[in-house]
Amino acid sequence: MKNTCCLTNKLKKWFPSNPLSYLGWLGVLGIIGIFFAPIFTPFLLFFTFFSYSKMKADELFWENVRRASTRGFWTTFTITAITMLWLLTRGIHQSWFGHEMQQLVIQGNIITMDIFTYEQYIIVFFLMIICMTLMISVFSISMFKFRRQEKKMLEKYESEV
Amino acid sequence: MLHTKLKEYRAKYNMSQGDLAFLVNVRRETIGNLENGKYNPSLKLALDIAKIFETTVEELFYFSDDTGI
Repeated sequence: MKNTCCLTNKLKKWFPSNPLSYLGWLGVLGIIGIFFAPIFTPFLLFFTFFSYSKMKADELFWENVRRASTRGFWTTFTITAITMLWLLTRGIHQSWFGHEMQQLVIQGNIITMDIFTYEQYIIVFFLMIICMTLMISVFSISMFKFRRQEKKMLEKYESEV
Repeated sequence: MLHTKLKEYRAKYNMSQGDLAFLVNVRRETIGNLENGKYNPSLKLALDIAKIFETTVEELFYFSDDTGI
């Protein structure tokens, strides 16, 4: 019984109590991304989530997470909406005014595609990278701001006492 | 706006923010935010705090008259 208790305590030390900190492991995908797939590079930002491992996940913490993630969501949503509108406008312009499409031929990989469609794909590719980076950045910056506000409030309380 | 008598009750029971935070299993920052009226607690937290001070939630938390509630 005693051994089980000690083992549980040891495990508790190894595994952080804050569930949000587990998202930090997604940062490993970022390391893989550096070498194999650049689209995964923004995942490196997930390493910042390890900073929450020692923080108690109480209801104010989850309230802050909710506020920060809402900000992240709306930032990404706005950028995606604007880019999609731009892509749509480009497409409509292309089909209505009928510019002659140039063929893009990449030999070896056997890809035949018109340049316009290729450009649209590239825009979507970069949009995904930018959205992922922005979402995590806005979330992390917001959380940092909330933590700083809380810290300032505690300092103010301590100076009063 | 939600107001609280948390500070008065803490003083009455000679309890620090850290002590109360430990008892209700939240961070000290949460208690600080509650006292400053910057955070509305969940029903569970309000009940937990009220239980510790042996009072009711209505006694501990109240709305100011200017809200008309």
